[in-house]
Amino acid sequence: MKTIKCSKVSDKLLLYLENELAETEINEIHSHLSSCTACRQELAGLEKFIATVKSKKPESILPENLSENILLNIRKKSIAGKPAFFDFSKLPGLRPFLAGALACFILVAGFSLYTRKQPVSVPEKIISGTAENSFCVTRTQLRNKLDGAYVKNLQNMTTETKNLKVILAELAKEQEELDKKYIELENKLKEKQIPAENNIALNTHPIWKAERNELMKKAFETIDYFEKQKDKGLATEQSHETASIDKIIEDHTQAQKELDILKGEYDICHTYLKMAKMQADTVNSEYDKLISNYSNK
Amino acid sequence: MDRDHLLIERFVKGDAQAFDALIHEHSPKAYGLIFSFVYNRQDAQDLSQELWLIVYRSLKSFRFHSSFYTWLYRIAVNLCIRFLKRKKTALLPDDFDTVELNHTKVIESKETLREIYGAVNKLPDKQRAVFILRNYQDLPYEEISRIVNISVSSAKTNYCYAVRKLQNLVSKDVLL
Repeated sequence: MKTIKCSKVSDKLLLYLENELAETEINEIHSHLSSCTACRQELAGLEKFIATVKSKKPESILPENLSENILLNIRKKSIAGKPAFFDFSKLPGLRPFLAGALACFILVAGFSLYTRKQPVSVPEKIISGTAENSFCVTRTQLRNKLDGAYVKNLQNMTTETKNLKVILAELAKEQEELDKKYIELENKLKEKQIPAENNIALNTHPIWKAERNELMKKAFETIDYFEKQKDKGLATEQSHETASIDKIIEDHTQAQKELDILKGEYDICHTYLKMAKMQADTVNSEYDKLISNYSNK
Repeated sequence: MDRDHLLIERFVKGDAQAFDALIHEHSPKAYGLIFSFVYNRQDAQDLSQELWLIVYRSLKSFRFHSSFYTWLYRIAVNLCIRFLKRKKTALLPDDFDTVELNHTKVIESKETLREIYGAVNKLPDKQRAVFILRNYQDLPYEEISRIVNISVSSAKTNYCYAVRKLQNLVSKDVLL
């Protein structure tokens, strides 16, 4: 009997292989695998892939006198100039993810919110029936044509917004549950008189929580930006009653560009929120494992 | 207090030999890590020199917030990422110093190696770092999370994503 969905199992197969899941999850996957040929095949493929990659480790013969040469170089450099003991954090470009987990995650996530291009200004120009619009005999026909395309895109984006909001709500709910488990775990440690600082899961809880909150914040900001653009679009649409044809075309071109950028941002949001969901599953599994361990002790 | 800690304290107090001992102890592993990023003997040697010069110059400000080994690896990983960025990550398959790679293995696996390393080089920085540390350095997720300065779960997620991407990038016929 298949107890969990194949997509759920697929996400966890690698950690299953590495024995990094909680016992309950291992059992769930185990029972799923016993009845699902496709997932068994996927697991076998994954195992094969990992075995291949591991067998092709980049290994090099250690250069002769490596340590001696390094020391020699350091001595030369320190004789050439006085030994400069300076703060590592001042080294340009070398701050090793020192911006912290939050900034790091956002950088990698690469939300283009930060790099969002300024609206491209379209120069006012005189249009007298371009090839594209030449069949639009009247102003009303032109407006209907442009509006039709814009409204369709807007509807798609509105649906996407709803989907994003659902994912965000699910994430927020999961966050609450994980916080509860975190507290439970903390209490278990207190009961067993184990110092909390020894527990990596507890130590990293605030880090990943902050990562996730920042990610959700960015997603909300993107949604907010879309809502504003939508309102702006509607207001612009009203002004088209009296605007010139050139202005109407220009506004539509610009609005379409904005929607295209937002569409790209939504795609990024989807990818990283999915990643965050997967992360939540992993954390959940870690907590279950730890709670069960401490309960058995 | 561990051996590294003692050696660092001795070095800070002016004992130059303590630093020699640190280099002898850690340079082979650090070289191995660097090589697994750049696949080229000469580049790995140059980066090792750069790494230890940084360590020499900044060891006095090391505050033992992590182990020396974690700190060393963190600098090494960042040096490699910076180096590959400078190279515009354009490590073309021909650049791979395959003679050096897996010296015990025969030439026929050259193409396979090129394909796998080429794919690894296409991964985003953090995924690549996590993949290399996990797969080629066999480090536990806890250690990886400290080196890359992310949470343990982020390390796991990044690893899963990296493997999934690589599965799509590497053709099926190179598998064992």
